[in-house]
Amino acid sequence: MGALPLTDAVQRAQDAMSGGNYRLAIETCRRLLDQFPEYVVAYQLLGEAHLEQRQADEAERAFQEALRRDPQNVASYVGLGLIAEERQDPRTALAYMQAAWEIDPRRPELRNHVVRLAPEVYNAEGRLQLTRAGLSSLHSSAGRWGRAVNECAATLAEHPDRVDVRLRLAEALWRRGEDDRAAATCQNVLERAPQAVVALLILADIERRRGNADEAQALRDRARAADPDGAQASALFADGTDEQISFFIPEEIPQFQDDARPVAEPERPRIAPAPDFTSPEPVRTLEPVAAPEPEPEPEHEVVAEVPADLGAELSLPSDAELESARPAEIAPKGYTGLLRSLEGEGFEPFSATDFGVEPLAPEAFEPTDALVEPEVSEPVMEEAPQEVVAEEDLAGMLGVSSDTEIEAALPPEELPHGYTTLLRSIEDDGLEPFDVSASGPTEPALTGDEDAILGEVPSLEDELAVPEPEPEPEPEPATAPTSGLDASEVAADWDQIDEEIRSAIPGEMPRGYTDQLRSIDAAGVEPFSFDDEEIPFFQRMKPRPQPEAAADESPAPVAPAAEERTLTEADLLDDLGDIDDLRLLDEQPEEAVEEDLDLLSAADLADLEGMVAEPTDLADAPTDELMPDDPTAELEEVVAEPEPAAEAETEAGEDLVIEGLDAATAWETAEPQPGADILSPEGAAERLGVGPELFDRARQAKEELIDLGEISVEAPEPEPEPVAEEPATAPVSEPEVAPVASAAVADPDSPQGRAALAATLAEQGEFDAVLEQCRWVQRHAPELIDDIIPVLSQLTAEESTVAAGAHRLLGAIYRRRGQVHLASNHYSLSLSVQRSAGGKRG
Amino acid sequence: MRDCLLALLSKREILGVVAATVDGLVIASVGVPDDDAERVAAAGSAFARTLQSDNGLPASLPLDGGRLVVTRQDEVMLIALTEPVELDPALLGRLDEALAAVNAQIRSDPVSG
Repeated sequence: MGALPLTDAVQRAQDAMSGGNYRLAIETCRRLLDQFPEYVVAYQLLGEAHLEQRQADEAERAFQEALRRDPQNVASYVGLGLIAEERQDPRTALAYMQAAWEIDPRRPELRNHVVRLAPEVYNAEGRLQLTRAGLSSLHSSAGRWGRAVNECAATLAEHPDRVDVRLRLAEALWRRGEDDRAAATCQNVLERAPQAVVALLILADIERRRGNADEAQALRDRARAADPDGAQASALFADGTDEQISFFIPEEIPQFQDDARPVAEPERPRIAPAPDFTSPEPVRTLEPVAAPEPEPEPEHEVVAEVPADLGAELSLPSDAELESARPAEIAPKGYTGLLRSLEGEGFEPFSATDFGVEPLAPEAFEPTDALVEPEVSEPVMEEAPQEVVAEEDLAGMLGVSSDTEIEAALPPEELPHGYTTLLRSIEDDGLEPFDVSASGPTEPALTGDEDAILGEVPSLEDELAVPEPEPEPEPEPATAPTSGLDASEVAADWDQIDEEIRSAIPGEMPRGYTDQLRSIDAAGVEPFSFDDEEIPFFQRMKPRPQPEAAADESPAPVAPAAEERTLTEADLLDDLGDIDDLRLLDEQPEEAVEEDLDLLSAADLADLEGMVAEPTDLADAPTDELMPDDPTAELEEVVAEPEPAAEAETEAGEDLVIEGLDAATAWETAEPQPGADILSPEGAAERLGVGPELFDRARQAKEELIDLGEISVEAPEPEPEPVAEEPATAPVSEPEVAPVASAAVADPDSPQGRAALAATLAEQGEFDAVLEQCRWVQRHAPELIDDIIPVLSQLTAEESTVAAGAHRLLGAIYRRRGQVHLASNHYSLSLSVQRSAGGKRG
Repeated sequence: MRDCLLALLSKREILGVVAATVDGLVIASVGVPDDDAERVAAAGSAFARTLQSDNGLPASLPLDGGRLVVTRQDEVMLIALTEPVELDPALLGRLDEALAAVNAQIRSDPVSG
């Protein structure tokens, strides 16, 4: 084989993975690493391929190598998370997945990993929390470098080992022009990850601008070793100066000498390959876990021996061929039968003696103490049997069911229908149905053994820890009483029992929360009460009288209409109680209660996400500190605080301005009942903490939603263009740049305006301006990237440096999305276009 | 429902929206951290109870840092945190429309809310 561009080799490895040929992908990656031993993309792909092959140790090593060179490599964090998950270590898995999500919080699949794992680690409290590390990524991707620096610094103060965050800090400082701090931070990163490409590139750029050309070149060369195709350099300098591009972006893609023998491997065989009986070594179906060298020895690999005349490719018989090989009469059942049926076709069942292997004594198949957990393949491979083995043993060797087992597992000719016939069939087997008269109407006494067994299981009461449960009433028998039945009749007519059982099954489950509680009550279990000792806050709440007719089927009393109540402080306390005391739901109409509960249960976590939590420290598994504080704590203080009545009175109606479309609805018009204590809504809001800080938090949350692309703030209405100045004969088909441009100028932060301007400018042929707008959108409005991709694709058709810039930008876009091969292609094309443009200029 | 609230949040003046029952039970919220949503719902509940009519038009309460705009329909209310600016009547109309949509959604499909 000859030479091919490095990016093509990467593409080949990715294609092999897409086709399920992971061994070819691994082989390609290893050959890539032979020539480019620092190539980070090769390590990442190698890890992914090993992961697909379920070779966790090799995959882990490859991912770690990738992270040493690219500490922000999302795919490697995800891979390590999956490995940890497979090792039943959800805490570590969550740590890795959260780190991946923090690097790129916009990718929903990363978010889903965290959402899935968090409850596994933290039970019901596990919820998605945007950490400061994640926030720093959002700020970085939006070009808010100052805020990114702040968030990174805050994160590193608590988690100094987060190299990825440190690297983000270095880039943010570098983008802000703080070279000294950026250089120091890069040095710090390189102490932990000496081959970190981005740190080397930033440092090289700083040294280059300081005039230290040799130092800059040495750093750049180190970076290029791990980034030979310049993919990371292109992303870092996507909007760099010409000097930066010419210095950091390689002039051409390095060539990969593909002189290795191609791997003749079937693509994911649909049946397990036959074991190699000729191998003197025991065949292992798994790679050695503790092997320091990930490469398995060829003779250890499970590969079917293919005769040379069959060619390199192993071809499996088609369904039609298999059908034609089947004898005309009914084929004998079982695997052995299948083999025998092939005898007539010139196929002989294999015998171990054909391979010159010594026989294995039958006792060798018996489990011994030394072989507590016998692996099927290993003892067989050690010493193969010489004689034709018994069918059962052969089936055991091959891991398939024997004829006898298959026959035994076959269903009978006609399945008996119904419960009664099933019981009768059991009766036929010698088992007697239970005798109702023998058991009597009372419960049979428990034996000591049963008590012991029951004693091991914690009772529901114990789990709920209900103090001093009241004596439980005898529950109503769920089935019809049997004491009055004649036992002989029962035994004679099982169908009658069937009917009785059916009649005893409740037709419809009770609906609604109240009914559920009542049904639990009927079973003798007390519903959850906030008056329990463990919840002192609710003990301090004013007790509300429970409706006497709780078990009554009559509808619960409806809560009084709002306008009928005058707001007093006591009412406010009650309102706060309404928030949390589910008991009070019984007082609402049942339908409303159901709706509320359903809504609360469906008030999806996404709606209620907390915004800032602790970032993940990869050195330690996530801790409980990540969990938010109890939001009721402050409310508790508000409620518990004794309020002087005089103060409440002075607040009534004072300094209260309520604006609205309908003045009649204002507070001022509300007629307070004489003598009632009134707490103003303003006072209530203030006491509840609805103040400037809460508004600030809301602003920040909204900004983050914008960053996440969930919303885009509407641009203000552009000022109308003076119609009189428009030429009356303006051609309709000509794209109107002016209104779009003026809208973008009027609101330069409007992503939609920028994207629209880019499209319009592209139609006008203003390609440089288009690139400028696209760069802005790529940085500040990732949610609109899909809008600019067609525009950029249009630019790539231009034979100019504009096309190179468009390819670079597309490469950066796809790289951020994790589509490495697309990114590589665009980086490669940008270099080609640039070369051709340079050639033409030359 | 979330989409409905997000549409409101795309307005420049609106910082966060909470849909809640008049009792202060949070149904859904956007742009407001969850513990803050509880506070806003409680404050909105206290405010809504002072409105004379069940289906009053939006009323706003100026506070330090912004405004609390509450609109109510039957047992559901919508509370918007807004910038401390003069609110466009059209925006208040949008709040009412959104509340009607939320209410209709609750009535038609209480589970998916």
